[in-house]
Amino acid sequence: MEIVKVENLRKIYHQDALEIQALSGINLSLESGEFTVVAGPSGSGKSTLLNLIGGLDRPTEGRILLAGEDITRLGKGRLSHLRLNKIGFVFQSYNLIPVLTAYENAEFILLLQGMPYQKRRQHVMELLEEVGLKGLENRRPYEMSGGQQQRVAVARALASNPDLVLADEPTANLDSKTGLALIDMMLDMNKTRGVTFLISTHDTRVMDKARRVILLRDGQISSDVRIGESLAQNSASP
Amino acid sequence: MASRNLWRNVRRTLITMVAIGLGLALAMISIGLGDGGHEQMIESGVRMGAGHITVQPLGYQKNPSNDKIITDDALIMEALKDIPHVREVSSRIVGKGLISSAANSSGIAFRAVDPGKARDKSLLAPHLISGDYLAVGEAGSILIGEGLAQKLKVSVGKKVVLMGQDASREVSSALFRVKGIYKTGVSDLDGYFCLISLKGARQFLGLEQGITQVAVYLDSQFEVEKALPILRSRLGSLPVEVLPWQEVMPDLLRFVQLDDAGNYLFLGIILVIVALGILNTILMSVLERTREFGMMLALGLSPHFLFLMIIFETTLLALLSMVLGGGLGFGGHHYFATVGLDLTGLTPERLTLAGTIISPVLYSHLRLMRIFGLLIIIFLVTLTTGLYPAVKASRLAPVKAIYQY
Repeated sequence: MEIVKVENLRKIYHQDALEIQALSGINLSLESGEFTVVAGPSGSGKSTLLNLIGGLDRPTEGRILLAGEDITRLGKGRLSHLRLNKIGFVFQSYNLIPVLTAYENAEFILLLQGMPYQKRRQHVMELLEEVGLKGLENRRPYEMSGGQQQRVAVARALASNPDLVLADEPTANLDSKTGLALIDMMLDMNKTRGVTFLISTHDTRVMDKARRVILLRDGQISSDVRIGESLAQNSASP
Repeated sequence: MASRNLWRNVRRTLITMVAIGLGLALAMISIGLGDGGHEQMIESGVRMGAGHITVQPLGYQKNPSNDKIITDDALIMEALKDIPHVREVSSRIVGKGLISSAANSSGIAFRAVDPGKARDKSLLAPHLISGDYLAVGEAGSILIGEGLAQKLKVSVGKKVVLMGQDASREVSSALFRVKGIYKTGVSDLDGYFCLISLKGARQFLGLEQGITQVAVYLDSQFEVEKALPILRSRLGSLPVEVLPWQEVMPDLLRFVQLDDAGNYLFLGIILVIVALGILNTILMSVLERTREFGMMLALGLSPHFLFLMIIFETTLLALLSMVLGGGLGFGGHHYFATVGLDLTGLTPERLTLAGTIISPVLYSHLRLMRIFGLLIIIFLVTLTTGLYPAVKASRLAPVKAIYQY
């Protein structure tokens, strides 16, 4: 089932008189259950693409269909509702709420969804155990390591059982061992829960774990490689 | 969550709470002392003047003269029976005249009272520096102030002649003997005001009976509005005017109103300072959390909910500050209500304003409605101040907030 379809996506930023073309004519689709990495150098448009797919920003041109619904036409309120129920986010710098514990951070989205207490508690405890944070539920973000914080962020992203998890450079602030462990955990979640992951990174070790790698260069897709296909064969000539 | 957010920066929250609390406490003490001072002034004016409510001949307020007489004061006394909150009633004759001794003469105002009335006695008896207060039944005695005694060069036991227009508009005079000399320290009183008995005044003015004024004293100045309409309806058929103290002493009323306006201005300044304090804290706390708010919006928190969260933080800050300020304010009020604020050192002698003696010791008096009103104002100011940061936060664009802050 096609979960994401991007058609002729363009994004132009205006900085004073300067016009910056962040994305120009992106077309792609993601099937449900895919584990895809968007790679590319800094400024290639990875974060912009994820932000647009996640409904955090609006494109200059083009359409984004999420589970068949054109999100570029949605208002602020509907977008907010969509993000709450269908999309999970993992950010580069964890972005946990500092005054809440690990449990409360993971619980945050379920609270917004209005899930009853007992069900909520059971669900969050299961998730925290799944991401290897059992026993650390009551720790505040500043009492945890970067890896642990990012695991809380993953638990939070998965809490609402979203159709799609968007992770923007999730390993950028972690050491390589912790980063790879996090990606392994995400892969595991992808397998066991069937959640679709779209991860942006420029870490080649993360790319090695992916089943599909979309390479962005100057706001355009320069290659889109699935497992078994050769990256070199599909790369566009510079 | 709002509560936890508030305590992220404990020092800043505490400083803001103290600022708001001190503002509230200062406002409470200021209002308490202002109201207390005004009430003391009004009570002093009422005691020295013509009561909380004055009944006098029709037209006397506009054109006072010695020939305007209430001939049947018994009807008035009857009408005053059983009116709620009426504590005491005093029949009087008041007027102006010329007092002369062998050495000098001077224009004066006189008041004739029943010497047996404790309230009238309490006005000058405590200030006697020589001689005695008027005795019941006597007609030819007069109490004068020290300033007037010096001017007339008389002492206790000496004779003076009081001259003025009688009830039939003829010039009349009567001989009085100085029974006592008082000193209030207020030169307007000590050099101008004389006290005689009703019996003496009637002889002087050629009256068989009658009075010129009935002073009605109530439990407090706040009962005037309740008692006045009853009294007016009961005395409607008589040729008298029934006036509240505000109409009898318009200068005092104007002073109180003017002083109140000054107090409100002061209160306004305090509120502006409080508002700026809150704005600073909440705005700082919102600005430093821009990234976090962006992330929360990205996760699906609605802008409406974010707005409410910040308003709730502001409300919590206001409530905590009000508890602190209320405690401090009540403490200050209690101290000034019992011990008083002694301004003796700042006043060279007893002060008079708008014809009343101002006590150099001010006592705070806070009415429940005033406190309630003040708390509501502070609360609303706090809430209004929180609106801007709340609106600002709720209008954040998630991407901009996350990546640019």
